[in-house]
Amino acid sequence: MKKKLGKKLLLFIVLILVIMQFIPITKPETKNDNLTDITKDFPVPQEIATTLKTSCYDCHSMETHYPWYSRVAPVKWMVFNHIEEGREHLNFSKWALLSKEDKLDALDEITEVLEENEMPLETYLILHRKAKLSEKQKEDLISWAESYMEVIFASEPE
Amino acid sequence: MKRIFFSLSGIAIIALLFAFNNSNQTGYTTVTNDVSFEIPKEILTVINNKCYGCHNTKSKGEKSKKKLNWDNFTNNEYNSVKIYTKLGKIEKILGEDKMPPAKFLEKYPKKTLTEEEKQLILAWAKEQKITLQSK
Repeated sequence: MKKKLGKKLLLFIVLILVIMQFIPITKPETKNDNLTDITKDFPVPQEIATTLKTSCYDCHSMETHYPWYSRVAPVKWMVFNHIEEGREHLNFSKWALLSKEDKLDALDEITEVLEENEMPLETYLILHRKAKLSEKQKEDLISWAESYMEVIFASEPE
Repeated sequence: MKRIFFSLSGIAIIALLFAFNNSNQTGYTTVTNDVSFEIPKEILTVINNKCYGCHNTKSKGEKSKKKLNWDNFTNNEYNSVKIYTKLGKIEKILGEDKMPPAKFLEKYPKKTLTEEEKQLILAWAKEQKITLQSK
């Protein structure tokens, strides 16, 4: 009796998972070589650019690399949602389109989330070990952001 | 010689009077590490009544404190770049009516910024940004 129930439950779960795959959801588009990318807008040091690309770009740019499991619901719902939300907050591929104030705010928030260890997200790091920032990388990013803020501040008002 | 002395001391007295007058008009003047920053009384009143409760060093809300801490405007923590950045953010947030947060206002409707207060803060932020930039 118990065995039968277990089998039924398993079948039910599988059925739900299969149905889930057919629920339509739009995959956030990707695009490489963006003319408005931060690296094209400002001479970002190579090391910093590499760190940004490895640890931030999957959610904070148009250059997202989708892992295989991001094609499977319900994981894909979470992944797509994170990417959309991440891009909304900060999109390095559209950096040049930001106003002076928005650039300063974005850099200020970068130092904030790094100091508070809020980014990269823990859930992202589980399957993206390479994205984990070392203490040195974090410090370098923060001081880069701060010095870039000085440059933007000193630039002509828009 | 006497004349020069008198006219010089006259200028000095006038200058002093101006200086005092100025400090009377200004509610708050403090020098941060690279900039002298002023918060006029009328602005300070709005901030104290509507913003400071969450945005101060002793605030329980870690996030609100980290995002904006009014104490840091006057205790050397924020430099001119940081102050400029925060002022820009204030303009944006107030422009979108995001502060004080709607949820908070449900409980404390009296904390709502009046249109007049909002415009006052916005005009002040804009002016301070120009001043900061020209220094």
